[in-house]
Amino acid sequence: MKKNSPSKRNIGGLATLLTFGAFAVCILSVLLVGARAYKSLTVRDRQSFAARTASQYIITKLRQSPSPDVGLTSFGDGDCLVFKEDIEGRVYLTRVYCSDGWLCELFAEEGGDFLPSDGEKVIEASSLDMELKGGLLRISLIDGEGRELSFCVNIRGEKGGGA
Amino acid sequence: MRSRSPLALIELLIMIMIFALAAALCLRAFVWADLKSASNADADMAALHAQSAAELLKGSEGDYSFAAMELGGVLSAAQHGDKLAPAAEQESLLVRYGSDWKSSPEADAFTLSAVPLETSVPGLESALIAVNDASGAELISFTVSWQKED
Repeated sequence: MKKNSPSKRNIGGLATLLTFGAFAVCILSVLLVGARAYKSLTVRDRQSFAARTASQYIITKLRQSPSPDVGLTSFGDGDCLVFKEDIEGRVYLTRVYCSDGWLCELFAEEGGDFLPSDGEKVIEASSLDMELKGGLLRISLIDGEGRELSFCVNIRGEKGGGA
Repeated sequence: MRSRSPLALIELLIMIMIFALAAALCLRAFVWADLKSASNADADMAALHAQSAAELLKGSEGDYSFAAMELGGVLSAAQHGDKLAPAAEQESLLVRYGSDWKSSPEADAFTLSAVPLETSVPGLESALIAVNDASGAELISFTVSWQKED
């Protein structure tokens, strides 16, 4: 029976070991690439969600408002968008503002003693600045991911009212 | 006793070949997902900026200079589209954005254009708003119309 020499066996074993090492490195590389791709996807999706939801929430609020009486006031951490509506002879205000790192909404009767913290938290946002001029509302929003979004909304039938 | 090393080596090589095939498919899926996610994020921002431009044009009743000033863009000669004819002797709006979606005249990552269109309805004005990326691919495009008050 022919036997392999010890050096030949060692080379064969070493080759197997090296191939296994290369295999392990390949697995690790694919795993790392996959993890990185997944991380970048989730970060980007979270950013998109924060920006899209915050901006579209305000735009939809303006578009869906039953009353054209829209105005600006100061409430919470800065500017506040106010929708005034008359319900059964009583005036109610819907306020959209930023407070404690959240975009909030507060629906309450006019003149009521409410705090910014009483509002319903909608989505994380650190700042909301608005300017209403000639029916054009300029909005500058810093979303929960720290991205600044600036956009304009044309308010149809705006009366310049508010609280 | 015969050494098992060559057999183990062949097993490993076959395993690596199968793994390489699976890895190639996985990497392709990762790259596709990454590109798709980036394209979706860009489309979201493009929609927001295009919507803002449309609101500005509607609010100002087609004052392209005002919209250009507000958005940080410039006025340029109207470009002819394939299907829609631009209104004669009117300027169009062009806004350039960087990859961070900040408008700048030197930026070239994205371009927003608003081209006035001719309408057959008296008193009605229209514009074609489009956002393209650096390669020229269209991210969003729509027509906006408003009533011009005398």
